[in-house]
Formats: sequence, structure tokens, C-alpha cells
Amino acid sequence: MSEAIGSQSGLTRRSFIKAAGVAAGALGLVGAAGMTTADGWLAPTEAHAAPEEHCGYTFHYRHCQCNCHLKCTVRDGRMVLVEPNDWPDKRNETICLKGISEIQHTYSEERLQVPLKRVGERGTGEFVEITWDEALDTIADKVKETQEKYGVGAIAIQTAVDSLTTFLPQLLKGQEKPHRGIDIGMGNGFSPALAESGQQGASSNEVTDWKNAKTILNVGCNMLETCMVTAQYFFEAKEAGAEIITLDPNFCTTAEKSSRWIPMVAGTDPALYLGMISLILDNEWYNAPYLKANTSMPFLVKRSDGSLLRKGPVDDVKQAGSDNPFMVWDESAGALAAYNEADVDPVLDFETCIDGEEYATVFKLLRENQSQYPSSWAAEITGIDESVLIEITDKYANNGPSILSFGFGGGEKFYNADVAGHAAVLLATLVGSFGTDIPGWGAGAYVNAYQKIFGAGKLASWPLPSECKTAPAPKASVDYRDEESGIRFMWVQNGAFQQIAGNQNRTNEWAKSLDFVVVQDIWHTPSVDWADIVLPVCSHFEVDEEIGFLRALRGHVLLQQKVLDPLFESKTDFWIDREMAKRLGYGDALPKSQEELARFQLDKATDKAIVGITLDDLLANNGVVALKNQPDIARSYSGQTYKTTSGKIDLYYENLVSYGQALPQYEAPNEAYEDNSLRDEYPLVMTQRRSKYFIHQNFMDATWLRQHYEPTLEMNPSDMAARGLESGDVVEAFNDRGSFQCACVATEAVRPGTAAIVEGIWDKYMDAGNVQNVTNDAVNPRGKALAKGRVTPFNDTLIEVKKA
Amino acid sequence: MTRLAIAINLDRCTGCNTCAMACKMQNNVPMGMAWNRVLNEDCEFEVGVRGVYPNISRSHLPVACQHCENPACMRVCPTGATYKDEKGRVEIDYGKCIGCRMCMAACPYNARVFNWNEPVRDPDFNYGDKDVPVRPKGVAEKCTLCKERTDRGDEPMCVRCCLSKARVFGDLDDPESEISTVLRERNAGVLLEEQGTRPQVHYFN
Amino acid sequence: MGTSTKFKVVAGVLGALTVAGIAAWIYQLMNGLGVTGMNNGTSWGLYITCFMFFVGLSAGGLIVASSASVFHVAEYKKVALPAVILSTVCICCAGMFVLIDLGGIGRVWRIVTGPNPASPLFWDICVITLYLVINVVYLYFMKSKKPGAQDKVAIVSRFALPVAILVHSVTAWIFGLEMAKEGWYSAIMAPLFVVSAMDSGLALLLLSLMGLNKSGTFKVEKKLISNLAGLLAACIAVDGFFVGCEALTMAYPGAAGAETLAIMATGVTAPFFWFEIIVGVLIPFCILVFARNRARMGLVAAASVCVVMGVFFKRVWLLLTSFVVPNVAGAPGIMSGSSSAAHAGGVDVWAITSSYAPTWVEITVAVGVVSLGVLAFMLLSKKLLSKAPQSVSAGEAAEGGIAAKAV
Repeated sequence: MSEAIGSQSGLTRRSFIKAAGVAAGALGLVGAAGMTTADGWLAPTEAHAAPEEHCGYTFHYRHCQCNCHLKCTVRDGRMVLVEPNDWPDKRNETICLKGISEIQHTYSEERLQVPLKRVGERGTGEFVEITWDEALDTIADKVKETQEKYGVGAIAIQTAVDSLTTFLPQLLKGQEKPHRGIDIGMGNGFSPALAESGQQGASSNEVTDWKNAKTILNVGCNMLETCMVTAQYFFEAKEAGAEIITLDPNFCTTAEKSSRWIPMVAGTDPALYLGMISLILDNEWYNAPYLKANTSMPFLVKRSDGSLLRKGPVDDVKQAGSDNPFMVWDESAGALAAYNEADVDPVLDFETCIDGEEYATVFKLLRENQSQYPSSWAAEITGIDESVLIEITDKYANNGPSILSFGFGGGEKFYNADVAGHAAVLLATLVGSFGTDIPGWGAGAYVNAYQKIFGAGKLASWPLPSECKTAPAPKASVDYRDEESGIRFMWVQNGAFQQIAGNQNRTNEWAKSLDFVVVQDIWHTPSVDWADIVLPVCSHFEVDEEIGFLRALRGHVLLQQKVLDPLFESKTDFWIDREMAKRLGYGDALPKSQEELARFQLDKATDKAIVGITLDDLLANNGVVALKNQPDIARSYSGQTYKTTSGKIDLYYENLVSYGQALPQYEAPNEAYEDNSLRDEYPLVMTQRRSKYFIHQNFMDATWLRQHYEPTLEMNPSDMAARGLESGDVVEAFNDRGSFQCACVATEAVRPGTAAIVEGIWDKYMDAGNVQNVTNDAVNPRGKALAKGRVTPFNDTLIEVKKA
Repeated sequence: MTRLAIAINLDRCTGCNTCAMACKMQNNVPMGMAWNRVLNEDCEFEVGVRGVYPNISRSHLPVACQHCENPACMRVCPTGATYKDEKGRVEIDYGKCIGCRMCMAACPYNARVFNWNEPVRDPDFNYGDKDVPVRPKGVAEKCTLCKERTDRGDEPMCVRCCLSKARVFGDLDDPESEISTVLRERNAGVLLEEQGTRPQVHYFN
Repeated sequence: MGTSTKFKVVAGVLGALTVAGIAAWIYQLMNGLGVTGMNNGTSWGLYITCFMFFVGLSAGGLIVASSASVFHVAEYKKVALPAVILSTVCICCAGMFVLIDLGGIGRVWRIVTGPNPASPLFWDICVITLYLVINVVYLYFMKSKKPGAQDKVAIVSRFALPVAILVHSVTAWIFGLEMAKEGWYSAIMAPLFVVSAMDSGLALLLLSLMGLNKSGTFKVEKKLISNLAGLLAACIAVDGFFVGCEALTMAYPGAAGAETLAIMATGVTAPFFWFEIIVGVLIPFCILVFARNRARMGLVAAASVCVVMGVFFKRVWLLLTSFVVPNVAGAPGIMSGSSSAAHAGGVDVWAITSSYAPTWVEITVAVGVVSLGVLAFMLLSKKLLSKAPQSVSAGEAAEGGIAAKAV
């Protein structure tokens, strides 16, 4: 070895991040003479002879649903290696390119370094540095002022799932907007039938069960990019002989890796499911005994008003069936009977006249309803060959066990998504997917399985004073920008301003009208520019004590431990919670340290999966301890138990009778439908797609990832040729709502007549504008009646593209 | 004898680039360089495909040093800086490398990269395994089969991190090893067989 | 003979360019090869092009000089001394280009302490060193007044000829033995390099002789120039024939070779290829094939310029064409690793096909080396040739042996 070459155990010659000035510039600081420079917070390294090296363990950002737990090597105070931690179950030892990119991303130039105060117009991103005390005092004063002037409901907080904020929403007592996320399109229709607890269409079994299936229909879900930890189970199933059929307008990575890809028209998912239902009914491929025993299919409905017939009068359609049974026609008795009577033998396909009123079973109504939706119709709407539709329906119904998988962000982000969800749960029920003992049957969104449904434990909640609770959102408000929402003060986390609503120009106008905006974030996301006060937060790798937060997900209790000391002047979410509590008069109400909270959460837990697991166990096991009594493969509804009104699969949505959606009626997309006259002006359907490189807005600034991705509008070569475009041209995508500019790229992976772009791109990386400038924010009036409110139909968007 | 090698299941490769990132991190690979790349075959863009909608296909090909049994790079190296070690890995003694780049011209796989400059790192410090040598400007470098990890008995970082479990690491000279079994039982091949380099890295599906 | 003002001016300019070149080289040493246009896709560039080119230029001189002794071509003996001076200067330039191209010149001693005998680059370094030694010895004996020196010239020339051929062959093998590069891997590479060396070397010798003639340093008969021009015509023809053979062999199967040929014929290196074919082969051959043209010094000079330029362009396409498309291709391609790429944000670090353009540093260094070479030739010629009467054979021009050693 020559003198120039030494191993890393030797001296490192290079200074750490010389570009403090550049970082300051990127932050848009005005007159921030006292800006913390990088030199101050990390000691120079020349003096070290032998580097100190140790490991820290933490969980990673989880909006990809993956919940990776990481082993991080720290050398001389810097994070130098991030790799999968050791888990009791080796299959969980995962990391993806995003986790690895934290080597750089944690130290990104886009990190917020100090608290900031707005000095320019709101939205222009002009700030000066202030102290934490000034920032928090200003906020606390404004909270009190707003509460006094407008009431607690005038404050709203957007906590995104990657935030570690625990107490703040309750301390502020304001609205949580939107309540429990935006991935609700399919769940709105799918979940009520099963009373699925997350109400987001979570699958009935784990993706690990795919290996037991023979036919897997994967509709509009690019799980191999969006939830990368599922890859091993996907391939396990494929290699075990399952035929994985992916239906998607575009040739996504998952389509590429599936046994077969069937292209379809975007936003026509309801037609696909309805057509398949018709085929199953017409060919009698349904599981009749299953429908009789476990579903509301034999329940009688009064034709005149669409109400379900019960034994007694009904005040509330949600009244439990055990209290006021639903009525069926008993085959053997030849008479009406309560559905839950012993030995009742309900007829599936039946109609009768009682006291001059016509009654028909749900099944009968379904058949009648489905006569509108023959497979030929579905083929035309979806653009799938009828023969192919018949073939896949046959396989799905008759070559089981079968899986029906859908995702978020595709058809789920259309105006009609709840109809698709309702049709999907009907389809899966017809073939007996739920609550069965046979492995490999199931349906739903498999990608959110690790988030909250399977392998999740309930940690004890730290009690707060009773008045500390979030305010309910006004009933009339489905969108936080509605006048009815009454919001005057927004507290925004994790780049939510760009993530949660369509039609960005409307969001921007609304943001200008607010009294006060706080942004609490790790990086300088576009939302930060809208803040009055900016609070810089630690990354998940930084804690100011040895113990951080706990999660009980992915079948394990996962502990965040300190990897790094807080960088710059950032503080933990917990520290901010505590400081706000002090200023709002609840200084003694919160735990004094994260360790105290963690011990409480474990020691006081009543969930049998957690009881007995201690913080010391976690520390001894590098932050990962398996939950107790976890099944090898988790399946919901075991023994055909459903927490629905009837206790069976309630496929008939009585609360939607007035909307004509008690049984799914086809509804076209709001904008992106075939014969919309708007297409004369804006002929292309634009999809915002997820990518392996980012979690929404997170990682956009990660330079390691940016070496692989730059913002491009992906278009079919035929559409580009028609507009005189070539790959690399900067284009403007526009409609009446707004426009954005970036380069375009030609690929046959994109369906002709459509365009696709990765979602969450920061404005600064675009040539101009934000992708959300063009997206649709139409509010489906039915949204108010749905379990989770209205869906934002981001993908239900028409645009035109021209050379910029 | 030992011939350490990797076999990659192309059916399982989704082109996610996690292996490329893992390699970059573990080996302190600077900006603008890559020891391990994942190519979208026959395409100009990552989002590209072969064919015309809807009759299209796409395939990913991870490419790094093939750790050839007959390494063209080693043959042409004037100073013996490139050598085949006792575990069958092709390695570089950076202290002997004079930066002539004969090896880069000779390698049919473009597996090698050169330190054209003083390495530029983001973040600006030496990340990765503490035992990985820091390379100065003017030397060639490439995949070492994670020499430092495999010497300790660990698998290479790309194998450790592959989410699809597409990578199998092991000893080709051990008939009982998983890699030997896979190569016997699956449809396996090597890149550019006609070059006669006899890569130890195999691809299968 | 005094030093003319013109000489001083030219020498001054060349000296300044040399100093600029050295400064650029120091800049390159400080900052790394990233200051050149080379990258991980095209890992050799102008320096290696010049290396090939100067090895070739050096050949012509020595082959003419040693042919004079070996084959007893009396007329050639008259120009043997300037030919060997030219040869010596050119091989020094070639050697400089190899060293300049090294990324780790500080470790170059490794090639002595631990050579890999299988490496063509190692062979080349050996052969070039031997070649240089032979040139110097040749010069020494030609200028020696000691008795028997002329016999020794004859002996040295018997070694010089095969070594001259070998030095080009070995240089060719640096490329021709690389199976990885479709456009290089060919048995014709060595003969092609030898014949390219002969035509470019001869052309440069002709130009040098005419230059010396004009400056009055050294008088050469027109007849000898016409004679040499005839030899040049033959070499051009053989060169063209070899290129044709190679192109046909590449094209015929319609396989990988045809793709490489397409890059040369219609792709990025096409301007260099067609320049070489037209300006480097067809035009000079058409001029020199006629005896009456060979008698016209202006036309001979023009043809020689064409040949030298043509061969330089040939080096360019020969080297670069095989770098353009990687054997294992696909998006995003090769991470270029160049200086700009290391600092670039985003996806600009990648290249699907490789490209290369020399930077000002490379050009300055190359110009510096060439200037140094011309300067050395001028000074050596002045020292060794100025008092030699035109009719006296080179060996009898009996001064300046010490200067020769100083080369």
C-alpha cells in the first residue's frame, strides 16, 4: 500500500459538509447572520487516531408501510452504515434503497437547521432565524388567541404517518385534518361490508398467504415499488405456481414481474369488478352455501324504499342484527324467518309479496342490478377483451384459492373509487374469500397489511387531562379548504400541504387566507414555504436521550434508539410536544422523558401480544422483540366472525340507498371518462404514480436517489409524436386548474392517451409549478355518507401537454 | 479451493437499485461512480420497455464485476495490481495501481470505474465499512465481492439487502452450497460467454 | 551558421507552448485525470491517440535509415541522420504521452519492481525503451569519428529494423489483443499499425527534410524526395488495403462487427473515418501515384500533410469507436465518473453510449508535448546536421555525438 491509501480506520482528511453557506442559501434565509454552520455541530476529525465506532438501532419512516428496523453504524459521530437489523424472523430483515440513502439524506442540504420566522409574503419562503423560545412562545400565544377568538375547532393539525408527534393534536384540541389519511377511496366501499377496522380496505389475510393461492388478481397495485418488502412473498407465490395477473393501465414494475399483465382503461375499475360479478352470477360460479351462511345475500329488501326487512321496526340502520334480526325466507319452512334462527335455511334467489309490499333478497336485487353490466359492457368500458375477462373470471372463481388485490393511488384515487371498493368486496364474497379456513383465499389492499392490521399490538396510551382531546370536524366540511371547515390556524407536518389535496392553486389561495401556519418538518419540503413559523425536527435517527419512540407493528415491538445526537438545532417531536405542553398549561401532564413514556406504554399495556415485554427486553435485543401469540400467517374474520351490523358480510349498503349505491351502480370517473367533452381541450388522463425512490415527498432531496430519477412526464411515443415532442423536451402540462413544467420521456409502458408522473416532487426540482396544480379536487357529494368521507380524485384528471 | 460467487435470479430482479445503493454505501463509493449498476436492457430510459403497447416487456440486469476465472483485466494489468485471490475473487491492490486503465479497456462488462478526481462524497466523509480502503485519485476500482465482509464470513452487502431475495452468494467449489445447487438445477448462464472470461457471477431464472 | 531571428522566434514560441503544456500537466497532476474529457465509458482519449500516432511517426525515420544499411539503399543513407533524429524525438513524445496518461505516475516504479509479463503494456514499455536505446546508439555511431563506427551502424541497423517493426506491433497489441473491444480485436492490427507507421513516418520525414532544406540546415536532393514519395505511395496503398480488409471482415457477417463499423461509417466517429479514407489515403495516393507529381515538391508536401493528418484521424477512430457502445448496454448506462459527473446533481452522471471530447487541459498538454518535440528536433538538427554538406553521408557528418546523448 502506498502512503496515499489508508483504510477508513485511519485519518479522514476531508472536512464535513463544507457547504454550510449553500445550505443556508437553500433554506432561503434572509439576514441569517447567526446561522449555525456545519463546523460547529461536528467536531473536526483530524485529532482522532483510531475512530470510535458503535451501532445504534432505530425504525425507519413507515409511510411505505414497510416498518423496516435498521442497524446503523456510527463512526466518529457520523452515520456510516445502515443495514437491516437482526429480527427473530429473518424474513423481516429488510431495507430498501431509501433506507440506505439515509447515509446522505440525513445530512441533506435540505435539512431544516434552525427555527425560522417568516419575513416576506406567505408562500415566498423568506425567513429569518429565531430562537426556539421565540418560536414556541409565538406559537403558544397564537394558539391561545385563536382558541379564544374562534374556538378550539379553528385549529387544525395535519400529522402525517411519518411524524412522531404523540400529544400535540390533543394539546391543541383542534381538528385532525384529514382524519386518518387520504387512502380511503377503495376502503369506503370495501370495508363496511366486513367492518374492516382500518376502513382503508385492508386485506383479509397477509401477503405471506399468497404462496397458498393459485390465482391472484392484482388490480392497480404496484406493490413491488410501493411496498417493497412484499417482493419476497410475491415471488414466493409466483414460484409456488400461483398465476399472478396484474391489471393496470400502465406497464408498472409489478405488471412486468407478474405472470401476466392485462392493460385496462384508467378509472374503470368498477366496471371490471361489475363485469366479473355478472359472469360469476350468469355462470353460477358463486359459492351458494357460503353466501347463504355468511352474508347478507339472503336478506329481504323492501323494493319500494330499499330498506332491509327486520323483525321489528328500525330507527337506526346500524342497529345490531342480534337486537333486531334481519329477515330471510326459510326454504324448508316456506316462511319468513329471522336470519339468526337455528337451522334456518335461507333462500338466496327469492322474491315475494307481503302485505302488498314487494320484497326481494339482496341476491335477487344483485342479479337484477347486474343485468345492466354484462361482460360485453365491461369489456367495452375497461378496454379488456371480453374473452380475456371471461378467462380471468373463470380462473378467479374456479381455480382457487384466489386473491383479489388492489392498491392505493391508482383506481383508488378516482371519484368513483368507493363503487369499485363495494364491487370488489362483492366479487370476493361471491367466491367465498373471507373467513375461510382454506389458506390462500383473501381480498383487499395487501400493501397496508404491516401498517395497522396484521402484527400490530396496542401499546398503552399515556393519559392526558380529560379536556385534551381533538375537536370533531364540522359535518359539512369534507375538505379542509371548505369555508365550513372553520380553520384559521394550520399546523402542518411532513409536507402535507402538497400531499393531501388536489388543485394546488386552491390550496395556496386558502393558505394565504389563514391567520397562522406552523410547519414542523425535518426537511425543507414545499409546504415549509407557507409557514409563519418553521420548527426543525430531528430525523428518526436522532434522539436527545438514549430511548426514543416505540411501535408495535409488523409482528414486533420496535424501539427507536439514539443513533445520532440531534443535528443542527433540530429537536425531537417529543421535545416539541413537551415544550408546547408547558406553554399551554399542561407542563406536568406529559411524561418527562421518552424512556418514561416507553416504559409506561409497555408496562401498562393490556394487549396480550405485548404484556410481559419490557424495555429491557427491547434493549437486550437491539430494539426488536416479537409480539406474543402471533400466527404464522394472519387471517381476519376467522370462524366467519364479522363486527358488522348483522354479524355477517353486509353487502347491501342500506345507508347509501338514497345515493342509489346500496348495491354498486357503475359511475364513470368525474373527469377522465371516455366521452367527456372536456377531452377536446384536455385529451390526456394524468396519473400520479408512486415510485421506489420516494415516499411521497420524502427523499426527493436525497442525492443518491436523485442520481437515478429526475422529474419526467412519462408519455406514450404516439402521443408525443402527435405533439411534436421528443424525450428530454421540457413540456407544460396544463388544464383549467393550472400547469406545471418538466421534461417528458417516451415510453410504451404508458397507455396511449395517458401521461404519468411520480407524485410528491418538490417544486424546486420541477422546471415550473407543482404536479398538484393540475389535479382534480372535485368533491363527490356521496362522500359525506361514506365511512371515511370523500376521496381526493387526484388521478381523475385530464390535461393537455405542449412544448414549454 | 474456494471460488466465491453470486448467482442472480433475473426473474426476481425488479430493478429497484437497492443492491446498487447498498454497494455504494458499504464500499464508500463516491458520487458519479458505481460498482454495481442495474440496467434496463435494450432501453434508453429506466421507464423504457421493449415492444409496442400493449405487447411489451422489460428486463433488468444487475451488472458488477463478474469475478471471472479468466479475468481479462488481470491479464493486461502491467503491475499485477489486479489479482485473483485465494477465495477466487478478483481484487485490486490499489497501492500497485498506476492508473493506466488497461483493465478498463479489457473488461468486457464495463465493471470498472476510475478515480478521475479526488473522490467527491456526499455526505462529505468516508462512509461504509471501516475496513474498506479509501481509494486515492488515479486508481481503478470495482466490486470486490465485499472482500471485507466476505473475509469476515458475511455475505456481500448487495446480497444482504436484496428485497426480492434474488441473489445467492456462496462457494462454487462447494457442491453442497446453495449457489452450486441453484446453478445445477436452474437455467443458469453467464454474461458475454463468448468473451471466454468464464465469469463466476451467474444469472438464472 | 548563426542562429537566425526566425529560428529564435519559432523556438521561443515553441518553448512558450512547452511551458504551457508543462503547467497544464502539473494542473492535471494536482487535480487528477478528471480535468481531461475521459470518463468511465471512454477511458482513453487524446493522450493515447497521440501515443499511437507518435509511435507510428517515429517508425518511418528508423525504417528508412535502417533500410539504408540493411538493404544497402544508398540514397537513403543520405537522410539517415535526420531520419533517426526524427525517430528519436517522436518516440520520446510517444513515451511522454503514456506517462502523462497515467493516473498514478507516482507508483510507476511498480512496473519495474513487480511487472506482469502477460501485459501488452509492459511489453510496450520494454520495447519502447529498447527502441529509444537503439535510436540513441544509432545516432551515436552515426556521429562517431572513431574507426569502425560505420560497421557498428550497419550492425545496429540490423537490430533497429525488427525492433521498429516490433514497437508498432506491440503498440497495436495493446489494442488488438483486447477481445472486449469489437473494433480492436483483430490480427490485422499489428500489420496495420506497421504500415500506418511507415506512411505517416515517411510523410513526416519528407516534410522534415523539406523543412530542413528550406531552412538551409540540411540539403536534400529533389530526386531523393521523389524517390521517398514513391515509397510513401506504396505504403498508402497497403494501408488502404488493410483498412479495406478489416472493414470487409467487420461488415460481412452482419453481426457485432457491422454495428461497430456503422459507428465508424455513419456514427459519431464517421468524420474521422471518412477524413482518413479520403484525405489520408485516396487523395495522397492519387497525387503520388504519378511520377510527375512526385517531382513537384509542393504536391509531395501537400500529400505528406494529408497522410500525417489522415493517420492521426485514423488513430482517433480506431481508438474511440470501440468505446462508444458498451457490450452490456441498457439504461441508465455507465456512470461516467468524470469530474463534472462527480459534481453533477441528478441523472446527468449516466451515459447510455459513451462520448468524449478533449478538454483544454488535454489539448494544452498535447500541444506542449508536440512543441517540445519540434523544438528538440530543431535543436538537434541544428546541432547535428547544420555543418553536414549535402553530399556527405550522414555517418560522416562527424559532430555532435555528445548532443545526441543528451536527448
